[in-house]
Amino acid sequence: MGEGLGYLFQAVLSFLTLSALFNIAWATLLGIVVGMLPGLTATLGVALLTTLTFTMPSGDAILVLICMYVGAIYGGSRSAILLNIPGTPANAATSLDGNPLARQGKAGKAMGIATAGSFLGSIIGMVLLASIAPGLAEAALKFQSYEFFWLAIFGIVIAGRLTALEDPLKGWIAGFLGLLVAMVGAEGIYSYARFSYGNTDFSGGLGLLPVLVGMFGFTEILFVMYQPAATAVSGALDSVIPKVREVVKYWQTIIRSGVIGTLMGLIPGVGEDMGAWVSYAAARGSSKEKHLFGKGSVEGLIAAETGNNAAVPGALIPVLTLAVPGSAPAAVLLAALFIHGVRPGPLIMIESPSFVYEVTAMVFMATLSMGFFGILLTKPLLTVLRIPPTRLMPIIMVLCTVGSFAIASRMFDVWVMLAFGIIGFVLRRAGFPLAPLILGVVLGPILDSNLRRGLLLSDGSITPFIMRPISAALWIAILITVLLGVPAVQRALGRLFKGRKAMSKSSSDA
Amino acid sequence: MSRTDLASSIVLVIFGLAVAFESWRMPRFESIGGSILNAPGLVPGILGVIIALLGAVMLTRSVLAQRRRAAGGSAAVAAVAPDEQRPPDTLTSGTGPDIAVEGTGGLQAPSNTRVLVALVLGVVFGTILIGRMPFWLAVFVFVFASIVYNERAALKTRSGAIRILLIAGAIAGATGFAVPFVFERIFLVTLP
Repeated sequence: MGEGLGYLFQAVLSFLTLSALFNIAWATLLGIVVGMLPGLTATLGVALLTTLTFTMPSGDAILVLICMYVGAIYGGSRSAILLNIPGTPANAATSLDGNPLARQGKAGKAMGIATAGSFLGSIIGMVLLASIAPGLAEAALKFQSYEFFWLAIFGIVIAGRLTALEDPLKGWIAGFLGLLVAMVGAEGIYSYARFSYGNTDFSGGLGLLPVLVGMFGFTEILFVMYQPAATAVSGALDSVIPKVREVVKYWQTIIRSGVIGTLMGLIPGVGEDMGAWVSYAAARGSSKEKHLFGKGSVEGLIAAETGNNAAVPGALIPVLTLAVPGSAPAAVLLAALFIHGVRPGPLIMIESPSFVYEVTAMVFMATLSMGFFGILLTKPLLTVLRIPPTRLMPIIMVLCTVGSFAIASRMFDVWVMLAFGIIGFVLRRAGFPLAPLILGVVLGPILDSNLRRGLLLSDGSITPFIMRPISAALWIAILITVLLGVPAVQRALGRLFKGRKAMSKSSSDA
Repeated sequence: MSRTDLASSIVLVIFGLAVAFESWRMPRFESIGGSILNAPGLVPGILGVIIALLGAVMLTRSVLAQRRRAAGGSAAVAAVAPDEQRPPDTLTSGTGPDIAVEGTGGLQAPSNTRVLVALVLGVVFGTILIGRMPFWLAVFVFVFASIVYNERAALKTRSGAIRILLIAGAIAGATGFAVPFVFERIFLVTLP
């Protein structure tokens, strides 16, 4: 613990140079702008910045990406509050109470509360990151091929379940489609080029970044063009500096939302949007001011923004300790870590023990920067929201093209980006979520190599896959998650609990 | 949504079976000690079968739902009633805002034509324009054409037309200059 604090302190000090502070400033500011603009998501922002920072030293590049990530998740609260259109999906719950507050003439107060919530959520997540990650990495050292195989399946199943609550079947289909996309190209044991049919471009595989930029960039552009925002910001703003008393009043909500947000980020593939929704639902469930929710509840707003920003450091925990992304932007960050020569995974505390604390320090600096710019530059930043989306989308399309090309300098990646942009649009229109698909693309190689390696090690026996303790825990968790997603099972459980409630009520009445 | 589900499920079943078939055809490298358990086609084959199975479940569900509707049943078909505590359907994609919140007036009417044109322009930019002319020019043509198309209503009057052409030209020109400059000169990234 003492050693960890020492690493953390050293890392924070190392970011107090002029060049680091400059990088933190521009990256966080750009992140806030990216988050504010409909059509630009945190995932796309981090992906495009990954290509921009390709030639930067790895420490600077990762710092910039984390600042973009933190800034973007916060930035979406602006358009959620003022336009009732969340800048990123993570801010959808924010609009439920943020926009009513704005319509009551309290837009500034709402933005100040959102800033405070985001700031505190990020700090809580950061503390949990520094506490949980080292321990989880140590536990993950016990993981072998069998456990990683089940972890990949678990990620798909839980992401599919939680990102498509009304229809988990579509979430699972999306996840398995993503796993399949990762199968294209040369595989790891015999270097056989799967689904390539003699084409050298396909035998190199479909890169994660072009697929991601396609689905979170081009798809997004097509959706914005399908239904662009019509109205711009109006009216003068009240004070944006939050009243301390008002924030402290909801200290229980803040801590609960921070923990929930971090846990949602920790679960593979389930990210900031669930962090916000689950925190919001929990706050509403235990609030003494339930009637205000949906009509301008400060508690609701603070729960949503604390929850979504706490998910950012939460999503970094599995990235660092298991090399499994906790959310879609974290998937990009994972790819960026590999590009810059960092090897996340269970060995991280052995090979580079200070790295987890360096990342914690980066989140801390990004959070301070986000809070600073969020309060100070509220009015200037609002001019960004006046840009008509129909003028912005072509520029974003150009950036998507450049971003896809820049990693490997091949036009094939641009064509992959275009193709997956169209596929993503069709899938989304048909009601399929895209986050599990992207998670599938990341987890595909892990699933493939670990299943085949596991079967080689066990000489074809599936006993270790079933009987090893951690494997057993994982497949049981998968089974429960799948069963809970089946409507017939849900109905049966509903009847069972209603029956029990009626019985206990009648026995207490007696 | 049920008709879309029906079409999607049929496509998924066919696709899954095709993948499984292709995976079965992949070599197993038995001559160098390989077996079916570590064959290249093992995992894609399993995934193909799973996708076909899940597609079949979706197909069954859609057919049953259609039959219930045809019989005039009031049984639950597809979506549970909206619950404020859960995210709305359109947000579960995990990407971007495509909600139309009632009573806010924040979004224009949806338009498939606008999407189609954006799609065609994007594909033309990425496959035809790039590589056949300097990158800055490809960017200029694409951005200019996109803005002029999207704001074509202003072309009806002479002053509106001049205004929109100038704005489109300025934005396209600025993008054509700034993007290559920032990416190539400042961040040293290769451009197409």
